[in-house]
Amino acid sequence: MLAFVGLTGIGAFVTIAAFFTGPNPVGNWSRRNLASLFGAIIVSAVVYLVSPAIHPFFGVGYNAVGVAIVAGMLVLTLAPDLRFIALISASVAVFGLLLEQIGFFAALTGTILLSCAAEREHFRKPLGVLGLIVFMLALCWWVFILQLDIRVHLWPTF
Amino acid sequence: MQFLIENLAHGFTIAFAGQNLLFALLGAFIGTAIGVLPGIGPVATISLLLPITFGIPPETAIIMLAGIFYGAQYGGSTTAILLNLPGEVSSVVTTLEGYKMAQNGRAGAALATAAIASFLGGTVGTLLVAASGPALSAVALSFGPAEYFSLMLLGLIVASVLAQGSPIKAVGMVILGVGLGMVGTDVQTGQQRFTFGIAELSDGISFVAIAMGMFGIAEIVLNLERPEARSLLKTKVGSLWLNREEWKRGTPSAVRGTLLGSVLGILPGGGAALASFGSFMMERKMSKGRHLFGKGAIEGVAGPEAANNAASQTAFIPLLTLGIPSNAVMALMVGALIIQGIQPGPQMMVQQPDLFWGLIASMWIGNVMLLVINLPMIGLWVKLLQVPYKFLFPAILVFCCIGTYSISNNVFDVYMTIAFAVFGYICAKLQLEAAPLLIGFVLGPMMEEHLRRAMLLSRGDWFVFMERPISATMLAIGLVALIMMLLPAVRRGKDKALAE
Repeated sequence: MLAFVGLTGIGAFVTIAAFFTGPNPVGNWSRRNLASLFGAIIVSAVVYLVSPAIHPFFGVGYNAVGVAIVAGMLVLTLAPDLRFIALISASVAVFGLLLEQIGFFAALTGTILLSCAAEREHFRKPLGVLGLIVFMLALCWWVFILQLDIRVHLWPTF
Repeated sequence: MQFLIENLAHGFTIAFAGQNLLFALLGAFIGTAIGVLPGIGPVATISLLLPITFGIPPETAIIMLAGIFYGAQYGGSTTAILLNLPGEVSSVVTTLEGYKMAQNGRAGAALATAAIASFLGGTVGTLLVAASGPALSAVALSFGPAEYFSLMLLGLIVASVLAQGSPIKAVGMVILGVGLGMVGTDVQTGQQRFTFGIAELSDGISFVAIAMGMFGIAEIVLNLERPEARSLLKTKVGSLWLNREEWKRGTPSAVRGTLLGSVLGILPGGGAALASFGSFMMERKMSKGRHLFGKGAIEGVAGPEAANNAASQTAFIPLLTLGIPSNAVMALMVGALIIQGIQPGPQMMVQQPDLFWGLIASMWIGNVMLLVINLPMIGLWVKLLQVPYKFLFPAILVFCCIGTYSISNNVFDVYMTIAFAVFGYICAKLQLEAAPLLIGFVLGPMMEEHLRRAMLLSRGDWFVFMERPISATMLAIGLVALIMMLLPAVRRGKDKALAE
């Protein structure tokens, strides 16, 4: 365990040092990008710690982790260079967050809606998104629920 | 010979069973579709479809997944020729001459050449798998744990050495993959390793979460970052018939490509991409029409297309005979087999003859299907190219999410997928290949098992790996490969070849 902590510490130091020195292929670490990244980490940590006290829903299973990822990733969308990875990660987290309590259809709708935000063209033609949601709900219901018999709530359970 | 014919006949009865035939067709169809569509590859698709294979018999599942893999090699050439945009990495070189042929009004001939050369490569590759399988399995049965460990170590080293980009980075990714494979419960002592008290990690990190995250979701993000300009060729596809001159020039290239691809496919880390690049280089230097390169030489389509299909078939040889995956797709196949409760390796041919021979027979049937799917239905694939990526990626994402969840009906795996997607994205930005990590992840636990078994049998004597001749030879080859790759002259040569 000591070796693990030591290696993690060295890794963290190298990662932080890499943000400020040498070639930078990950992105342009402008002030806005950096502020969004650190903001996302702080917001995630706070939401993870506070959310179970706000509503019992967040205390169940990994819901606190899910809502922390969603919140952190939404803050990260403010970083222009990390917008896509943040939105796509948030939409996957929304799926995990909604699936077991709010249901299969709501989880799919939430994931598609949020992921579509990554493509600006969808804002101009929202009918296309609506069509996509209807098509995907029908297809996934047929493939995963009817054919593959995946046991999951389709509608909200309170 | 009689053994081979008898078993192949048995394989054909399995492959011609209604369900298997249907899934082979489905695999070939999906494979062609993902090959045609830039932005989604066979690794992501197979990881996406892994959960679907739970409910079907193992031979049916593997037949479908294999169909996706070799189907993608066929489909990749369509976009390469018509759009100058490779659907797959292995089709990159097809763009060079194929697109030029299309500009010269010979798009139909280029597509037909690609399909026919692919069929030739695929058929010869399948025959090689059938012929070499029993012989190699017999040799592999004489292997002990020391030989297996050394063979797997050699596989990992060669996979790192042949990977694109820096070999040091590839070695790093392999080691990380092996490390991730160690997470979970130690099967011999019951000790929890790197689980941090998280119950969901006691069975290890989900293979599907890594594959989906690093190959599926990270790929979506990277595609969103580089919006492609799809400009479909304005000229007509035209006649699919080749003239006599084209047949004469294309045939030797396809034969050479088939031979080269068959050899390169077996190598760990090689696979279809290396085969098509190698064949293109060979044709540019050896073929009679080499002066036509850059102006639409048919040799530049026939050779690489035959090579990548031959390689995608022979890549199954190490998997089916030794249980060792030679590339990321084969690592997924190992995952699919293990999920079905089958341990890939030399025993598979004896214990699972239906799967072994059924798969080989289905490869040939699949190649015939692909010829039919690709040539007369070319119009359909051209139409498919017009589906915008903005509608495709949310659909892929939803399939990733449901697929990951359905593995163990637990949202923990969904969150793990996010972690690996972010990690995969960073790796791609830092030019770290994800494939060696996946191979390391699959081979790591197997290597550990063989290492411990070898140490138990030798009562803790590390020299067991050097005392046994086969094991010592493999370790020596691995060491030489590693030293050669670290030599500056060899590295420069490899970088130059890749740049070309």
